[in-house]
Amino acid sequence: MTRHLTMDELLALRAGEGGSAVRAHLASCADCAAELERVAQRVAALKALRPARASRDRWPVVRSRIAAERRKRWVRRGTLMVTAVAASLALTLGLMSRGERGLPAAVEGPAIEAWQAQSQELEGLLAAYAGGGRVVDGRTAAVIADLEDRIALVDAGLMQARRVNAPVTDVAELWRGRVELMNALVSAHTTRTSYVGF
Amino acid sequence: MPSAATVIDALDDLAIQRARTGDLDALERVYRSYEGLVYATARRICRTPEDAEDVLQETFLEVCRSIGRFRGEGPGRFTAWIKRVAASKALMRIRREKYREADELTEDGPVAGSMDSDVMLSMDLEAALARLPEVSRAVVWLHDVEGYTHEDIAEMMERTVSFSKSQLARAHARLRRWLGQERDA
Repeated sequence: MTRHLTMDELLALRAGEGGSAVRAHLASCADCAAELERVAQRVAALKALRPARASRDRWPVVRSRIAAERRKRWVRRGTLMVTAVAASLALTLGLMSRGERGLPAAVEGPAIEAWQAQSQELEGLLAAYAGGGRVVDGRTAAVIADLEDRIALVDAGLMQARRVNAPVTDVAELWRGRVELMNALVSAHTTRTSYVGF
Repeated sequence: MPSAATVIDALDDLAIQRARTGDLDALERVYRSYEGLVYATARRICRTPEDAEDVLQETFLEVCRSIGRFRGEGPGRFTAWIKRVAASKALMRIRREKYREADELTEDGPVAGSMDSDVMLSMDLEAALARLPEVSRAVVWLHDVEGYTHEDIAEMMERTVSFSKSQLARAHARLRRWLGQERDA
């Protein structure tokens, strides 16, 4: 090679790349070797530059924005809760009217038994985790209360279903919902965070 | 800039776990531990201190919103994640603000032994770095100081690896010239 190395070639050499001709030139050219050393010195000087510091504290803004976003989320969640209650009531009323019309209904069945067994198992787990009287933070406590309210609604629906001899599919659906909520409740007690995410 | 070791000492796994639950006091601790690191990176990439402060704010808003989904283990991974968020936010800002300057210089000729009329400018490194076009400055800072690879930088900038490499070479050629580091013929 009859010319000096370009900056691209010098940087490639510094990164452990570069072809044999480039390496051979570097080995024989004091100017290029010195240039490569200056690149290394420049990088070292860049790393040694004094860090800039922010003149204003931005945490109060971040905190208030995050708090506002959470408030909005809670309002949305509250709206969903009201919708869930309304849906549950509608289901109960629907079951009542079907029962009054004397539609065929059977509350027993293998699917229901499976959901009931799971529900019972989760009740046992819950007693083990929640019975310790451990302190939970405010957010987790709110989540637990929310889930317990929803389970109470499902239980009311199940009682109503029994009263009106509701169809087995509806009862199975209620038990399935109960198991899902119980699972979430057990998770809330064990991880204290898994239900709500962030 | 606080060293990684300082940050790790200040913020152990337990504090990170608390922050992941959304605890605002724990999140403030994360902010206090990392604000220096984030601002220092943002300031080197952004044109003005105000832009860098905005990047600091945007970075921690993102961290607060996403920390529950962070799945890495240990403060080292956590530091790398926050630095990556900061770099991405800073790059996004320079893209958004259309600060990117046309790179009119062609610095692909031989380096050693050449002379330039600007050689005697000889400014200090801080001023020379600030004078670089934003994209070049971002590449030189992320590659040479923060240790990102050209592949990382290309991905963050949504450009090619060769773009990152050529920006780095041009940045070094300019710094060399402005710092008066060229050798006589």
